[in-house]
Amino acid sequence: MDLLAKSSPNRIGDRRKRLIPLVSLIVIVVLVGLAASQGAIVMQRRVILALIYLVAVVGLYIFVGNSGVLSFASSAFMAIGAYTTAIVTMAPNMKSTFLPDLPAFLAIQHMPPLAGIMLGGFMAALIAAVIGAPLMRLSGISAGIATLSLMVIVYIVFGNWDSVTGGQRSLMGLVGYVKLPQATLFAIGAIVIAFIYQESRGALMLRASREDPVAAAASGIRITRHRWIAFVLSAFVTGIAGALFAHLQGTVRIESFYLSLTFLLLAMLIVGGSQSLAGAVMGALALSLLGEILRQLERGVPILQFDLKIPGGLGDIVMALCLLLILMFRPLGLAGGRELTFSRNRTSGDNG
Amino acid sequence: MNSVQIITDALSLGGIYALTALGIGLVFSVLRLANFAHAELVTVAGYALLIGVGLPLPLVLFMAAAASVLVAMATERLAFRPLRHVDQTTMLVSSFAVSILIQNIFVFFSGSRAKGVDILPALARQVSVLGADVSMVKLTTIAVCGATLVGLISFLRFTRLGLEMRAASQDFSMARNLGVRADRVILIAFALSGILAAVVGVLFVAEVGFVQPRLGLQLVIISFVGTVIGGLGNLTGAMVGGFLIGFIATLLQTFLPLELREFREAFLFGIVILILLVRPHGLFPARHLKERV
Amino acid sequence: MSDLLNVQNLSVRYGAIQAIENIDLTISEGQVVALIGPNGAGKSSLVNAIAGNVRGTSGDMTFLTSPLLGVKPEDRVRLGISLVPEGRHVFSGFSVLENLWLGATTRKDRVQARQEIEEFLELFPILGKRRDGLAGMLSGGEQQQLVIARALLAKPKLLMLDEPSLGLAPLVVDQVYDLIRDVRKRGISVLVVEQSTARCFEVADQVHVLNHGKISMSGTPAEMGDAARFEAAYFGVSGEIRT
Repeated sequence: MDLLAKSSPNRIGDRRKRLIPLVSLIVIVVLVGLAASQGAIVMQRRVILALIYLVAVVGLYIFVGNSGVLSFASSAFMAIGAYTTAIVTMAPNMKSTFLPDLPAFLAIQHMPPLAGIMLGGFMAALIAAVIGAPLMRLSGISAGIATLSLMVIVYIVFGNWDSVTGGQRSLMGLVGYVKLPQATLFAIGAIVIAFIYQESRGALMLRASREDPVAAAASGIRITRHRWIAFVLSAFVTGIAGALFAHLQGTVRIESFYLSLTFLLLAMLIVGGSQSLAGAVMGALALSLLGEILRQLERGVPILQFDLKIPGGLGDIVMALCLLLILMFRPLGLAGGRELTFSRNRTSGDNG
Repeated sequence: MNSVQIITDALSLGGIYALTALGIGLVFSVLRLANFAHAELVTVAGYALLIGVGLPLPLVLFMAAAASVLVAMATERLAFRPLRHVDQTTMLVSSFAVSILIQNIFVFFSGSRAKGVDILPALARQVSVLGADVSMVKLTTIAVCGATLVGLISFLRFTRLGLEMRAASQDFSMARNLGVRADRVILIAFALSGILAAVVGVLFVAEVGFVQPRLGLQLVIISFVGTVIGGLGNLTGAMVGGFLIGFIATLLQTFLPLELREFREAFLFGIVILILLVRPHGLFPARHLKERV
Repeated sequence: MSDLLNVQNLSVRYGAIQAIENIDLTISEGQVVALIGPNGAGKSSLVNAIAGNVRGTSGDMTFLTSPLLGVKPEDRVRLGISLVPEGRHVFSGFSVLENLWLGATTRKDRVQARQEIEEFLELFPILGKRRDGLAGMLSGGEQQQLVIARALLAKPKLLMLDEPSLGLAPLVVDQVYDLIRDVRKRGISVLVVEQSTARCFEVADQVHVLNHGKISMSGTPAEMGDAARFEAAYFGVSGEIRT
């Protein structure tokens, strides 16, 4: 652990250097937001969605990237965030239509969207805190299966708890609060949270344990506790992503929060590179961009005098194919486990 | 529902899960790959039945088996072989990618809606067993699952190739140093998992009467859980885990109060989490779960 | 005697760690070669590179006339190279008989192989008595007999033994070395890796000392002189390096 206690003779310069990866990512997100603001409204919605995925992938990264333990629970935490904000922000008259059996103390709530979104994050964190406590002892495939089970449980419960979630029916009439500026700010917020966390002593210990759990445990690191902290924080950020998603769509359906979403988020993280924050951000943006290009191609893109068009449905096939090829040729992800430092010889403190 | 019906349900459902769990377990034991694309091996057998409607039954069954085996071997050669040296999580995610890829190919050619397939109308009747009405499909399922299990166990126990596969799953590097061909053993594991998936696909379609692109997905997720609670890397464990999941699911379906019955899968997966917390490496942990080099 | 194995300029590194560096090694047909050196000297890396389990970073290897570069471990067995790795690696959940059959994986002549298996079961009465028992239940010495027999069933031209006496009682080690002499009588070349010297000197035609990834001394046992004196010198050297 000497590495962590390393004190530099020039601390201020050192700190500034350490902030470069953070600042670069923020600049990228701001540029994406600014570029999108010049586009059409449909285009803007796509970029907002990409930024929301970015929040969710960064949330997933906080746990998976630092602990090295696989989690399938993303869509569960997103569902918790989405349903929480729906229940507390929907207008009471809407709720009496969609959720006639809602308990009275929830039925009368009519919070502003921002409060609902934050509450969504907190609810996800709360549930992660309770369920995560025993789960954090597991690693490897067992941990994966436990979080997969958690996802199935949330899906089944929310899909059948008619009085509170409306079961299989959609909840409608949420405020369309999330526009480009909000999405950009939340994306920056998620990146900042993840960065501050990964620079913390606890996260460094957790990453040390990822490299060598036996040695880390022997040197007195309480892996379980640090994993739990990462899990709860990860759930908070992911829950917020779910709430943002709800306030983008204006509706909430349980079908949105199952395997495909979890796969997509995991794929984004792995494609970007699960071992660095830059990887999480790049993966989310890259796969969103790829998806968008394929969507445009399916609709037909005029190039010179030709109309380049691929048959509908082929886009999804190509997407999966690209995903496979990236995994084959860049198994460590696009970022290769590094942060953005813009210098050739440094490979960031991430490998510590 | 009487006890004969409950036992029939539990055995047929458990048999389906056990065969699926074994298919997943076979590949895992030699490659350390948790192959989610196993779902599509089940689905492709279903689509082969759809294509073969009207042809003689033995031919249709052969087509189903051939389709699953070919797809299994193709995924190994084209996708998983180049990925052999990446870490487990990346392999797992690439198996999702393969799974989604094949699913979307089904959607592309056949649409996402369910299509009716009535392959074995003769099975759609009830017979009386010990005074209870039991569906013929379920009895057939039990018989076929039993026969397949016996076949698989005999192959693994009594043939040279089976011996090599078991050796590779216990200590891959040592097996290679004795001349066991890695590529061949892995390819055969995939082929076997394809056969198991085909059996499951045919039985499953016979029971539900339709195919759709995500036919195998839920089945494989539940069976995968069976593989893990049985003890990953241990084939006996996979089999027991599959049956156990089938039994628990049937018992929940039968004995949960009506208002909680729609939550049965939540209970099932809750029990799974409890089992994992008590036995993190499953009920029958593999003795020599070494990393493959 | 013609050359069986020819290793030229072989280096192996794992990331930043140089395991062996520029090793030259020749083994002739029918020869017993001993490789001795302290823990971490790179002995296992060398035999594993010859067996194909680790990839050489640079250098060449030929076996008879076949270049070994890029040849998979399972195909090297077919060329005639068998390794008995450190720690023996019996398939503990398998019966003694199944372990032996695994040794005959590469054999096409099954009838002949079955006969040889029966011969081994007679040669080692304890194995014969427990032919259907689990190999994991055998004692260390019995397991060592089993894995050597298993390796011989592949009809190797070169048998490599990585620390065969590790963890065995002296009396059992005697049996193992009797077995090595027996192997040699069958015309099979042997590369034996050990930490201690005395027994190697009894059987070896040629001895190489490996230190810090390099061969620091080579010669016949006679040239190396008295085993005990040599050992003192050798431990002196290794003691310095070991720290």
